[in-house]
Amino acid sequence: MKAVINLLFGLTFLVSLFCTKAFAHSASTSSVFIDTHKPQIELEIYLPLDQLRLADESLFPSQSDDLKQVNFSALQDYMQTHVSITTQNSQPLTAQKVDDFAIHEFDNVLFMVMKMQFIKPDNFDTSGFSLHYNAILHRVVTHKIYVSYRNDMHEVLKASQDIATIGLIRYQRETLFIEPEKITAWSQFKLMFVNGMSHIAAGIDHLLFLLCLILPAPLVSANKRWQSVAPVRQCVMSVAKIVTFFTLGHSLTLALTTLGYISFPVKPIEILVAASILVSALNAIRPIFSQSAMWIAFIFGLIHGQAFAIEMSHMGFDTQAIIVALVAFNLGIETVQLLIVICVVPVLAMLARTYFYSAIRITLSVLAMAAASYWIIERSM
Amino acid sequence: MKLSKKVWQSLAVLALLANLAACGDSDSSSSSDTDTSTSDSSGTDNSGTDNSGSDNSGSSSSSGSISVSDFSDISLGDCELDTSLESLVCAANALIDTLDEDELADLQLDYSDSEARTVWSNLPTGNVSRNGIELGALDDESLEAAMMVAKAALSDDGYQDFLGVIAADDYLNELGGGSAYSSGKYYLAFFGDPDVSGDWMLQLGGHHLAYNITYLNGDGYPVPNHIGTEPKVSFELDSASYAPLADEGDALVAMFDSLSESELEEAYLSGESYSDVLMGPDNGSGTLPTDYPTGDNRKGILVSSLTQDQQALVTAAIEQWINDYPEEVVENLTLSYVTSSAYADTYIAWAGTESAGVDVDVAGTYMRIDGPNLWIEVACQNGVIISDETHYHTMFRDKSWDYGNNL
Repeated sequence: MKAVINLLFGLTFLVSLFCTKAFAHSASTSSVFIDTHKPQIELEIYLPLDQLRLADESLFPSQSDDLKQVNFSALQDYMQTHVSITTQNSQPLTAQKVDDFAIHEFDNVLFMVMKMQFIKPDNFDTSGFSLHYNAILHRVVTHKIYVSYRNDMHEVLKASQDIATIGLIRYQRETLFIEPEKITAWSQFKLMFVNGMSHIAAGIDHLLFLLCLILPAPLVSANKRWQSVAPVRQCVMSVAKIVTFFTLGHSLTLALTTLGYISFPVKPIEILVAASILVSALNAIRPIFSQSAMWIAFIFGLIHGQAFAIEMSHMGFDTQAIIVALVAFNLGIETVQLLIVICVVPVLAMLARTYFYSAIRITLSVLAMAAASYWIIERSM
Repeated sequence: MKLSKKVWQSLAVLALLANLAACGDSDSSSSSDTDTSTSDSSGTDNSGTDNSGSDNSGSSSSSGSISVSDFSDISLGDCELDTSLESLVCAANALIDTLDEDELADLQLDYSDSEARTVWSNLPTGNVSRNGIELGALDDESLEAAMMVAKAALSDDGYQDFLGVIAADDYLNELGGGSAYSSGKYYLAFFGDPDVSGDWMLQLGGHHLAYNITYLNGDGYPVPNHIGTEPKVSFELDSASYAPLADEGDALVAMFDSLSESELEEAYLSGESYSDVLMGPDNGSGTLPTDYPTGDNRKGILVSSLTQDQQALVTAAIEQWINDYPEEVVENLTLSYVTSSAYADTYIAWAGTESAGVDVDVAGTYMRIDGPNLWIEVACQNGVIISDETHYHTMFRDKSWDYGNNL
């Protein structure tokens, strides 16, 4: 999903270039998006194919007018020749790889899209570097190249505003100094905290799971049925245990996965999350695991932590930043969970003392089961 | 509270759609725009009998096109004064007198705002918004006064070019180019107070048009100036015919046609392709551009190496640009372009398909005059609406005196 958002922003940005900054409708511009927050410097480059052919016909088969026939391996060499980076201490970097080639048509213009990766040397000065770029421009002197940041961290920070172009490469301006924006630990912490909050608040599946877990909390099981009402103290204790163990579980897998120690495929995790809702909804109807609820919460927490990790993995942090991000993201999730517990548990505790609580509990559980079943099917497809 | 992911997505999609809508105007393949000509009735229905000057057809969208042909012979009336600049200042003040407070706020801008002064473009106004009042939004009286300002600021030749460029937009609209193209979507602005001796600037522009004329103590600096036109050949609108840049293009071609084969080869910019003009819009930079070719990058053939007859053709080409303005206003600047000392440092150069020669009907053909100060360039691009013909983008700049060197 994040990829889709990225793509949309990218396209939006591109369109706005054509509409507001292009020097003519028929002479398209190039775009370079720079991501500096990964272990490597990554450039995502959009080249208008018609201008590329104007710049170097040898990249295209001579017998064809089809721009899509561009020779990818020749293009790799071409980009290596025309794009390079120099570090602050004058160390030249050449692209380690040029790949992810794709052709996109946009506003009737065909674009070659590719990624170039430059390995940061050990002594890399993060305060900036020089980008030397003259692809197309070496020949088409009127060509313009808009350079901007493409960084998930940056995008999350900036997405509500216009994505700022950091520079324009053009005739006689083939070198651009790139100064990555400083992201402080505190701004990152705030951002990830809010992100964690909005993630759980927007994640209906996680909320539903939480609700199913605490629905029977005010009750005591007997003879495999939910029966008498538990004393308030016991109710609070059991909710606290459930939430704590759920948190421990998902913190563990979130941390281990994000730091790269373990990894699970996305799809089964999504299905398991849905299954966990189904099971906990069943439990809310009839006690399945009343005695060991906290351990079940822990195990399900492990699963949900995987799902959170999937979410975080799309954000692309370097290892230093990730610890801060991890803690903040988790605290954000926790805060919303606690808020929900504080709001919902007293209500449940009161409702549990009424004669219609079992109707409410069963109705909600059945709805949750229906939703969970739907997700299981949808996510299995 | 941070927006949730779904909201982000929707925003991104909305932004994308909004941008697409804006871009649709420049989309050469849009065939569904036939209905726009009915909403712009004055663009299609004026059959020469319309004499109301600026019937906006009751258009509520405030950007009706102008009946361009009605303005081809307007006279300055009481503002026909001794000098061109007196006439212009008179016409400017007459316009000011017709406007209400809101319109005046749009028209009169701060001379010291260098960034605003450098905002202009070749693109349709839907893509890059311009300074000033929109001609199509004015009432009849104000519109006529605004057209008189244009007439007073330009020579007769220049004024006809201006009419031709704005008429070309109506023509593109008629051809299904969409509502982005309209003679009404041109803008006039004054930076500072129009005055015969003070410092101020007039800006008049829209799609394919940017007059930036700075007046310093009575002297005019008509640069940077961009004019483009699609089509580049003669076209008819409301029984009047226009060909705003035909003379300019022809004069440059005549200049190159006079060169021998070896001279033409020397003038060829080998290894360089031009998809557009090189020194295009300043995009609100607030400064003079600094990336003209310098040193060895100044290429072409020196005008001083040419015969007198050939040099006369260079002068004739340059005059096509400088003669668009009243002579006595701009001669302090423009006389310096055609002197023998200037020609000792003036190159003419061309680019494009070398085997095709200097052929303006071939996309990518590019012609340039590069002097110590003067900079004229013409690029031939494929048409946007008339996609099987090329069209012109031109720039006229002065490397030192753009904006009167007074940003």
